[in-house]
Amino acid sequence: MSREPILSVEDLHVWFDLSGGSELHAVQGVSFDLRPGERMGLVGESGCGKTTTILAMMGLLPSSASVAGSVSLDGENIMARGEDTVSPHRWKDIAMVFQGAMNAFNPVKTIGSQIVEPMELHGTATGKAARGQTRELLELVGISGDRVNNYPHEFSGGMRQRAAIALALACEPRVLLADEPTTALDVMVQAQILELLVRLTRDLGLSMILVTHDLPVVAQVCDRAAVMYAGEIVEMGAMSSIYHDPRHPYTRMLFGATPDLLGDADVLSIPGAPPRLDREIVGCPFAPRCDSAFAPCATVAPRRMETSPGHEAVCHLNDHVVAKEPA
Amino acid sequence: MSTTAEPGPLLEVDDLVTRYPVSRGVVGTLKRQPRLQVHAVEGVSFSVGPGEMVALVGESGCGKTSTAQTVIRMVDNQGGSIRFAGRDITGMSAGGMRPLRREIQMIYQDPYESLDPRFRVRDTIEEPLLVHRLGGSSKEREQKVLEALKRAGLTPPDLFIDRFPHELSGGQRQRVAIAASLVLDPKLLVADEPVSMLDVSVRAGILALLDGLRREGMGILMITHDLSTAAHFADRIAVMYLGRIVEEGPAQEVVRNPQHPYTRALISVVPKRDPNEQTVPQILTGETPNPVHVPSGCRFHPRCPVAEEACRTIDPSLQRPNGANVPEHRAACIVTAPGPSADEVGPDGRSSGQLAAAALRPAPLELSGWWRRAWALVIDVAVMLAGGVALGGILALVPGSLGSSLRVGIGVVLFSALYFTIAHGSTGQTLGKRALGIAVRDVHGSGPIGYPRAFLRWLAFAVFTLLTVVVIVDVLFPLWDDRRQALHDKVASSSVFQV
Repeated sequence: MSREPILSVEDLHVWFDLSGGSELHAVQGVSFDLRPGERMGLVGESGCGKTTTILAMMGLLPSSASVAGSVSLDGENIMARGEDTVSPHRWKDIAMVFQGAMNAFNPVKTIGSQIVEPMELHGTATGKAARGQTRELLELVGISGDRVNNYPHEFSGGMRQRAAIALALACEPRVLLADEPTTALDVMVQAQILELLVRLTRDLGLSMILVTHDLPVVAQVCDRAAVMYAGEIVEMGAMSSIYHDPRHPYTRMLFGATPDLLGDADVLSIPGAPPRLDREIVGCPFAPRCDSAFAPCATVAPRRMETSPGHEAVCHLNDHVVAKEPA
Repeated sequence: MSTTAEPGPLLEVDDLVTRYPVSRGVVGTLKRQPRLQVHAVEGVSFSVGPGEMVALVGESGCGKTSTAQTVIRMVDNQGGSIRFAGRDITGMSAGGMRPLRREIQMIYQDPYESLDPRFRVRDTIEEPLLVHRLGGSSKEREQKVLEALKRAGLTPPDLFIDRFPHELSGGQRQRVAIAASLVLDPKLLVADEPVSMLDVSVRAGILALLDGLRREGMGILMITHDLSTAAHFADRIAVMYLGRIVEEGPAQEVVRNPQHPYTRALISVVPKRDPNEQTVPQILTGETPNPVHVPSGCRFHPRCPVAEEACRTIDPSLQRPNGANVPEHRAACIVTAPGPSADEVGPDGRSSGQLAAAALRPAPLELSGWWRRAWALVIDVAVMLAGGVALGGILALVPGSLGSSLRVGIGVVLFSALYFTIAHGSTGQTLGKRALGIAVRDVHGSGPIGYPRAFLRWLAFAVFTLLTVVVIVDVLFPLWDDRRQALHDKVASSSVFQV
């Protein structure tokens, strides 16, 4: 908590224009800080806005999206003038492992040449030096450097995911955004990739945001987690305090819906479905599915409250907690 | 986790073997590349009783889906038997299977793909009734559809019956898919990864639905890669690796007291919900090997952390490990689950799996004397001549410009080339050799024996192609009457056909 955040997102909003003139408010005021060397998890159901959030941070949303709010890197707002201010930092400071990245390689170019590409684009290395670095990067992620001239089809799924991570590390970024990096992989390969990500953040001092729908993965990999629901972060805090003392019913119910290998507790699904984001939400967005909803939930939107240091939640159940609002 | 004691198992699978041939193409056939197979399922045995949920667990490529597809007879098996409700359905015809299909229903992984987007919920659920000519009048059918929706947890059913799939959430879609199989009132449900495409928050609901059906007495075979789900909902777990069941037993026993090193590794890498409960994951290097080239001995030995020298040669069978708490718990490992029991090992000390594999392999070969080969050659030449004359005779009847004797000659050469290319190119076995029992070296071995060489096969293929072209051109001649004479002169004078 002592160090200054390397990346700070404040009041981020994203709207998508829908055909017919309406708008979909996909991200509704997301704020968080990421400190150097920290691994943070962004968890939620599909459609909750977690991928949109990190795409907005990379300035990679389609033209149908409008973005408001700020993303500061070392105190400098990289969103200030759109593409002009984002592009110098993209891949050089903030890099991303895309969802399904292992299937995104160009099949007719070698893996090596695709990793060299961002290096030459950003001028961090060229020619022989770039190829040398590519070999080192592949070794770093656990692929033999001799396979630099292989084509994507010669790699297995797990190796392509490793190569996608190497690609993200090409320009030595300080922040790595990993979007569902293990979703399509087998448990054993998932374990290999997660171990790799933890090792990389530790050895290279990388900060990482891990986007996933899989709570146990976040629990084992991340120091801190932010739980998103209907476009906003409903609870955020240190992983162990979120697990042992969830302050938002959604977090608690999400844990309850996840089977644990040796747990005896019943696994219960959350009834209903998330609200539509193209309409204005009155009250708490989770209220219709919540098992502890009471009178104010339907009408009054809950405020963000810090329930203990570093742990905040957006729920009326915390209204009695006399705590300062987070700055 | 209650198991109802019932007379006999619903589904009994014994020593199932399913292999898929790997296509080698025309070039591969002519080059006598070894005929490869994907060993998807290699000697799998299990049973599912009424009111029981059995989970087949494993990584992708371990053969769990192939097992399910073979069990419902969507894929043919190469060995072993499948019994459903006491009847052997292994070699049953499609027509014979038809009434049984009502009793065995399948639920697929992806409800976004498995439902027809232009069918209303009503049509999707009604379709099986129409296919099987059940349900009587449309009124009665609608009643059945409503009941199925209710059983699948889509209540009130009136609200859903006229919707299209795009108006439903993922969980609701999967419930519609389940309703469509429930409408036939099946006894056995095969669910292939029923929740892996769904959001975490709705998975539990679908699994609870399956659990409820199980309590009503339905047998469920669930295919999953998620050990946690299997541990929570299944009665028994069978862990598969590379086409084999390596461990099976009651679900809680398997996850709490795993005996096979592969199961142990799998369990150690399942992420725990509690961040403070950090286990040391025992990460295996590499990925599941290619099922075309299965390792010798124990198929897990190249990745096994406790493999010994003996594991390279001994293919272990499932047996009760010493560390097991219940008799139904079995594992296939000579290191962590030692002590073969007599009933599972054949008379010569080989495991049942090895015996099954040996039964499918061609008998070992021996080379015969030259005189036998000469006789084989005589038979082959006779076959070629007879077939060739017959073909030539047919050719001679077709109107064309070439003379009859030339036609017969072409027929003989054409037939010989074809015979040689096909018989020898693909299997290495000609009729003559077969008749005299001359074994041909295993195609996986070092290559062809006897008269053929790659060059000869290519020559035969070239001659065959050339003559085919000649015959086609010749047959087409009368169609261009005015040019006929000119072309005839040209072809007849060509030296190629004077041979």
